[in-house]
Amino acid sequence: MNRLRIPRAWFALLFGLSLFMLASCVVTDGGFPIGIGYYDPLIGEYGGWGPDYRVGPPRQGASRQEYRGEHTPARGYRPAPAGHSVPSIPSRGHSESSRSRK
Amino acid sequence: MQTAIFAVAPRSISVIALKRPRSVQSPGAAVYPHATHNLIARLLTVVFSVLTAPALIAQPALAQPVQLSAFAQSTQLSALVTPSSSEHHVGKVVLVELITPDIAVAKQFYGALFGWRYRDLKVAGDTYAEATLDGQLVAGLVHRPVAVGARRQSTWLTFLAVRDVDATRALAVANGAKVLLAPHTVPNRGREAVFADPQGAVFGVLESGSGDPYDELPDHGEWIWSSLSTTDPEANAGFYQTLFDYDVFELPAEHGARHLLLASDNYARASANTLPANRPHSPPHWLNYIHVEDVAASSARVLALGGRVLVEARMDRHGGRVALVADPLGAPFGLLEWPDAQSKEITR
Repeated sequence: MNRLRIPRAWFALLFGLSLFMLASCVVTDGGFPIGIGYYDPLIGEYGGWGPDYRVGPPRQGASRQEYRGEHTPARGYRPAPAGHSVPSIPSRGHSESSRSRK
Repeated sequence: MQTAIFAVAPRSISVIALKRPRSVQSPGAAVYPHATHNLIARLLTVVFSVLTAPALIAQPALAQPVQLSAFAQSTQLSALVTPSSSEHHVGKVVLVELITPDIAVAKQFYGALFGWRYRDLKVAGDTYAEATLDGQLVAGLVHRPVAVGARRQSTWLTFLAVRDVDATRALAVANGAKVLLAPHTVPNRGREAVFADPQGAVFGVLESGSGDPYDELPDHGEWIWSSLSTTDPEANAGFYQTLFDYDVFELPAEHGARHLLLASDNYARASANTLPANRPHSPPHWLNYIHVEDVAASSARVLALGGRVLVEARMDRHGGRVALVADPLGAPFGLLEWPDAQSKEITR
């Protein structure tokens, strides 16, 4: 019975290539993760906004909360200077900007 | 033996293709291997392809892995801004990514709702889809399975612009944040990291390699606004102010709550609100809002497409309606009308 004879050099080369390919599959710090495997806890607690719960952006010049002694003043952050008006979101549309849309 | 080698070839090729040094890489960040290693890897890949070509011809079903160029191209994410801009807007929400256990369902839902189109990629073993509108990048969709029995839900992850991710990481950690995903370079996109703020809300930062998007009013179907609901808006505002140098304005709010506005470059970027009192178990979280023409109509469309309405359409402080909805996989996001172009650039 004839046996298939593979030259040792070829076998070594193929074996080496196999090891290299397998090693390449191991992503250490050479790869980069896309996004993150983060999921929020499943709580079903989103929403519940009361009638005065506002989340949207203000219009330009919207009134700021004035300190009336009924709540504590700013804590933990530096308030914008009193003379600064409340900003809004950008008004300039795509067509008015230098951005070119495909 | 041969079959086993073929099975690993596609992944190997993708890793090799992704290991190119990028110009956006920060000095000293040894993320990608040396050029010599890259060259050797390419040579070996060519040798491997030549050696195995006869077997591929004999087995057509295995032929796909050697389509090197096409596969390599599909692993490259798009730049954030095309063509590149010289704009930099620290603290602006510049990217939103959906983490979902069923990317096919998500693509169908958002495509039908907003007209998004997709470019599919395989990156480092992950299935990723870039959503575009009129050819511009709108969002990223990441497929990530949920472990059986894990009580977790899909979510949109908010990325804020920074100039230096590594410096931001140091600042964030020094101020009580946790690092969920360490700073790393994403070829063609930039450098990014993901943190949990001191109250637990999860957010990302992105140092774009192509500049930041222009400050302009988003079209319908694009992200227009972001809000943070948290247990302590003041402390949170201070944290984000430290990171992004925000101007913080306090806005009128109901009794016992705080509504703060975070602004940079004289533009409103996000709001920080006290979590609703009747949701004591809700974790602090970011929400992002899509600009729509008619919130009520879009809410109805969400229902028709298998999603849910969490907060019905209602008037908000800007004189337009807003609603909170969830996609069929449960990821919450907002819908927001901006009735006209009354907002103006601020001159101080």
